[in-house]
Amino acid sequence: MNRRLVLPLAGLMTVSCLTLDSFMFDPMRSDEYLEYFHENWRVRGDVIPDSLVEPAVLTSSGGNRIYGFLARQPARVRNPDSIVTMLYCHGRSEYINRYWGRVEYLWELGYHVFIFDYQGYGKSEGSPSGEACYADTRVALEFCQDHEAVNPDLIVYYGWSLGSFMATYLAADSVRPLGLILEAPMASASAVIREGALLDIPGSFLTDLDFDNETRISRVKTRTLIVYGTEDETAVPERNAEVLIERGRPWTDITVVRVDGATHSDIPEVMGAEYSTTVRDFVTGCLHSGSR
Amino acid sequence: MMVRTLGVAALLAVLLAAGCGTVNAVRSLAKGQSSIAFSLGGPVAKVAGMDMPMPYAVVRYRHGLSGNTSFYAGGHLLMAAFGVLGFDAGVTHHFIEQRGALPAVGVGAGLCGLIEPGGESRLLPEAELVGSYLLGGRSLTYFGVQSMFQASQRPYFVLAPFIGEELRLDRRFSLSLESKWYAPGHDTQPRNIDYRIPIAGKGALGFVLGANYHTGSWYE
Repeated sequence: MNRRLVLPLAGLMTVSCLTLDSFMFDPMRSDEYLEYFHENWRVRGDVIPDSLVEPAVLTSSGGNRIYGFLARQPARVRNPDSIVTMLYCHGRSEYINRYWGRVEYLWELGYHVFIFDYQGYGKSEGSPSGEACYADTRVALEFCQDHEAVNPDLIVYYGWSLGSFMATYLAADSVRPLGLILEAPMASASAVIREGALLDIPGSFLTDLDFDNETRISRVKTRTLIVYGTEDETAVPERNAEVLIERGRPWTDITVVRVDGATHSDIPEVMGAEYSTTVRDFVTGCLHSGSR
Repeated sequence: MMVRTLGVAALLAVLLAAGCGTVNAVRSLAKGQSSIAFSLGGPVAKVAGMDMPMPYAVVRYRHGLSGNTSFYAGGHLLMAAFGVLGFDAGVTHHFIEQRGALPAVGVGAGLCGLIEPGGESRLLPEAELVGSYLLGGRSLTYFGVQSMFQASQRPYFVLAPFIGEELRLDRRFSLSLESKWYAPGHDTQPRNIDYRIPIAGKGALGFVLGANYHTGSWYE
């Protein structure tokens, strides 16, 4: 090829650092927490008494402060050491307020719930990235493990959508939890590429994100619940949840709940009371089987 | 939508599914003559809030090996921007001359390579079949189908029928515009890319603009 063309092309490659990583995140900055709730977020707002909501400021990678909240069960509970804690890894969009309705659902089931904002979300400092999200999740877990109200042996990781990468990462590569719950999970960054490309194009061509539940799911050695909606057009089940189920089942005890008519973001609402029953039965099963 | 924006990444790759840039095999170059073509475009999708053809850029060199056989080699500039060496190379051959209503017909075959330094790589066969009419000495109307193949997963091939027009502006320079129907055998939704112009719910319509510079006389 003409040398005049080859040299600029080689130069472009040498200096190139373009990735599409930032497209994966859609944070919303906010100086306030738990005051404003959009009606689409389905937050009731009056479920958890303010006195039971404990704010937390944690130091994550790069010295950045991240913010979170522990929604505690009342102290009058007879056997506080038996309370399960949900470490909630939220999705890609906005910040904690958008997910507070989910915290309410889980708190009503009798669990402590800790939710936190990744770097760049809400008031959390820094900017989101794969490494930052993983670091933030590790810090959040350490907070839970060290908290006086939390029994560190009774922590369940819960990941919704993008949060499924963080929850699975913790379960596979960090500390084995009592159980792992993945709601509308995604398989991997590569799966996203493949879905659009039709061709077997590696995700690493276009993104540096280490988002790979397809690989990690086989290293999860704890009971896992995967819940997905049949009408999910964001993480299309056959290319995401069902891939994880197929990859993980030889290695992991996976309970699958397929919700007819549910999309990516309305699984609890479509399931109604069955959502509570499903989560409660799963956690009870983990406790009785001595999942850890 | 959740990962729809990341689907932009997939958009870049979906172009590969059915050929990147403008068609190679419209007409052969005369023996010893060369051309350089720059093309930009792809399927129309919603990107950053706007409906636009994906800006997939390819620069391609062609050289006439004989009166009806040419060689081509191209570099994929947008992939280079991602640190991936994207290239294609192959040959085209014309076996039917234009005669009355009978169009000139040519075929092309080659390989598209994607190499991530220190990482993974892919080598994908590609092929195209093109019919064309040269009208009035300046206007080249062409149509046909492109395809790319893979053995590692389904689908094993993806087609892209197209129609295009190349207009000669002077002795050496021409512009071309192609419209392609990417992946017509596949549902447009659900998918993590917001394609804006499906046809009967299938594939994605797109547009590619090309600029060509010839070193010698025009093909006939």
